[in-house]
Amino acid sequence: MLPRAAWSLVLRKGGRGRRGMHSSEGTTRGGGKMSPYTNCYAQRYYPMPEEPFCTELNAEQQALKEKEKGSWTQLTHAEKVALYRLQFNETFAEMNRRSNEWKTVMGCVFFFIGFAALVIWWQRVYVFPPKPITLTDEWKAQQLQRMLDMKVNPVQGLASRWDYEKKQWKK
Amino acid sequence: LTNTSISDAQEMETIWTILPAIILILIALPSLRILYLTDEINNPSFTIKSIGHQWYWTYEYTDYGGLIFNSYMLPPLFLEPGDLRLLDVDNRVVLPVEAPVRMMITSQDVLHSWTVPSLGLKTDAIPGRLNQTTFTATRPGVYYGQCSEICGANHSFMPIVLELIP
Repeated sequence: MLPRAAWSLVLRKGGRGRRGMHSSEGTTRGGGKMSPYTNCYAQRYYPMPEEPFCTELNAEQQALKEKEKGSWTQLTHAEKVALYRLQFNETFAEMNRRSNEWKTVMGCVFFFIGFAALVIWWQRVYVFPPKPITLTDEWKAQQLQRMLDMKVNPVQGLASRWDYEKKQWKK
Repeated sequence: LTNTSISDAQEMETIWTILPAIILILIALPSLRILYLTDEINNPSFTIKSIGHQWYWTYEYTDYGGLIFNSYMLPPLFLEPGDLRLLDVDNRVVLPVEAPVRMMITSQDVLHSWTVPSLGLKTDAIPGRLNQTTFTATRPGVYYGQCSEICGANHSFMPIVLELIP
């Protein structure tokens, strides 16, 4: 662990200085904060970081911390909120907020699907050899007639579905 | 919030390893017995040898005289109208219906597999080994199959055609 002073130097440079660190808070959320706040990234699955969010307290905040040592019923709502903000970076609601990332993702997905479609069309026109003669309708009809004449799979398969008296498919 | 406190459960692990093994053995032994019980006695009328090559079949009818021929797939240019591409061959295996037939199947070079699905036949052609399959066809007609063991570039282009005549 880097000492606190070095930490704040790193943070002052801005950006994701935490990427190389394997600390407990996790590295997935971005945006470094300036001192006196430590870089606590709230995670839903690791909501109790070891260190409080704000460690260098000014006088007013230190007074509040002293008051916290007493009975909590004496604290006003605003003071409780302030204490929470000292301890934690984000509330659960803020941590779990939605984002517009899905629009970017879907846009890229559709773009690449379209690109793939273009590639496939180009292949069909310029790369693939001509289709064999056996795929023409006339040939397929002759094949089907031959198979029916041979009575292939007469129990449950093709010939079982052809009505030989009426010369049509069975209804 | 994550499960970090349960780590050592030696008895449970032993039980749920040994018990499924016992169950599987109890399933396997009767199954093997049934497999050999269902082997039928055929008394074949005659024997045909089928030898796989890359990439064609050779059939030998040697019971009454010596008839040996190769069976190549018909190239698409040689097809008659109505023929099945990739399935029709130049020389078919002609057999009588209602006669028990023994096929001895082997290979000259690499693994192949002689199969006719509509008759329920699939036997691997293994070089240096003679495999046997017996069957009795009851319906006349033409039965198609394709080589079923990867054997090189033209593995998809060495079909098997049985012509059963009444």
